[in-house]
Amino acid sequence: MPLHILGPMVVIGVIGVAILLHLMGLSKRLRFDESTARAAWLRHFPDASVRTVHVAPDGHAALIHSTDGPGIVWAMGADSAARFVQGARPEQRPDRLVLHFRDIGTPTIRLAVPAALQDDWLKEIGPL
Amino acid sequence: MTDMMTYPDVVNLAVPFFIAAILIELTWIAVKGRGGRYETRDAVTSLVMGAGSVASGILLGFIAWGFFMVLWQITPLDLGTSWWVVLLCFVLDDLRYYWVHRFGHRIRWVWASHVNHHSSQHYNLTTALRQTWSGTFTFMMVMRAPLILLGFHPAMVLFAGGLNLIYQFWIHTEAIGKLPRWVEAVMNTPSHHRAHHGRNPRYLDCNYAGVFIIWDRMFGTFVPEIESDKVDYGLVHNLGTFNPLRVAFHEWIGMLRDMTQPGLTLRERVKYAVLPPGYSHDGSRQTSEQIKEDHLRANPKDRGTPGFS
Repeated sequence: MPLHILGPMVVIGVIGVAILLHLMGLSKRLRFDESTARAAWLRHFPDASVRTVHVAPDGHAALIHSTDGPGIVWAMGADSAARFVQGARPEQRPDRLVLHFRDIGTPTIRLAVPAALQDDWLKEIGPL
Repeated sequence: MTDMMTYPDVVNLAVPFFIAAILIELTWIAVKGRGGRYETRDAVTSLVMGAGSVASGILLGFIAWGFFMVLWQITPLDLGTSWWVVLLCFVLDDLRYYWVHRFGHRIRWVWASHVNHHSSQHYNLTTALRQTWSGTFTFMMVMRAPLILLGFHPAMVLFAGGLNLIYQFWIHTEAIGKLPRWVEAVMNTPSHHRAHHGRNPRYLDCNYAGVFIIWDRMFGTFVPEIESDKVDYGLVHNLGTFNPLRVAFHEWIGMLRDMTQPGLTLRERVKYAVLPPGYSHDGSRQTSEQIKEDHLRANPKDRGTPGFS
């Protein structure tokens, strides 16, 4: 197939599917409560039992204290990702707490934690 | 010896069919309320990965083609273009695919290229298009060398590979359950390939087939999809990004970082490239075998069941 047909077809196809999915309401991010955050963490780390769960105010992430250390579980679209926070570099912004990792597959986690709560969260996380 | 031979570029020709099939699957899911899930950013990432893979083929395809044509000049054999030769080529190329795919899961250098195909936590027709951008750098083109040296023309071999890829498109769906027994016995099906995409301990490193599941049955890697162990799609450690560049290259960078960290012997550096994903020189990570063993310690009743034998 000539490139001048293939290229526009692919571009229009991708944009069209994206718009359609968005209009169908399929862009919603996963929201956690304590129970679903716990379950999501255990899905990723079945051997690291959960001690405590702090759900972020917007419900899209949670701080987990597990038997293997603190970690974050957060919404990746309609699904979740999770990781331990050891080695992260925290950055405090007015409206969010950002954790930077030296990991090309998870470079940052943006937590919608307001400034007033950020110190509490960092204290909960402990030394990084 | 036939130097000039042309076959249609079937993968590019199938692009309209891919888009139409995605729309049909999406409509089916919306109407029936079952048969899979779609999410905007996940689907867009998959589609962009697919477009990038085609672009990568256009830009880098000449490397493999040049290699194949050198082999074609060397070989004294020419099987011609009869229909049975094309059919035989398709079957043998599927055997080639099985081993390339198996290496893709068991050799980290090759996994670095293939991992992106498994990086979606969804399983729908867009997942099929989440293809590699870096296949050339795995050097797995050498696996096609025997076919060309046996007298199959390079154009025919690539044609067979294209048909193989198109076959695998439709099996990336949850909308189709199990097919009649004879089909499940011989062919790779949505059910078999769902198991392949599972991150559950049971399903790690199984069902490498492209078209014919018989290769997995022959080489001992077949695991059926089991109703009581619902497939959980994605990677053992799922990605925290939808950025296609990061999806495409994260494992290459991770592997190179591992190989170049200070204090390793040369042997350990090489092991990071050639041993299975999960190898670490200090035992801080887990391979699929170790994950399965951990699972069996916690769930001894599963020992001896499919995927744990």
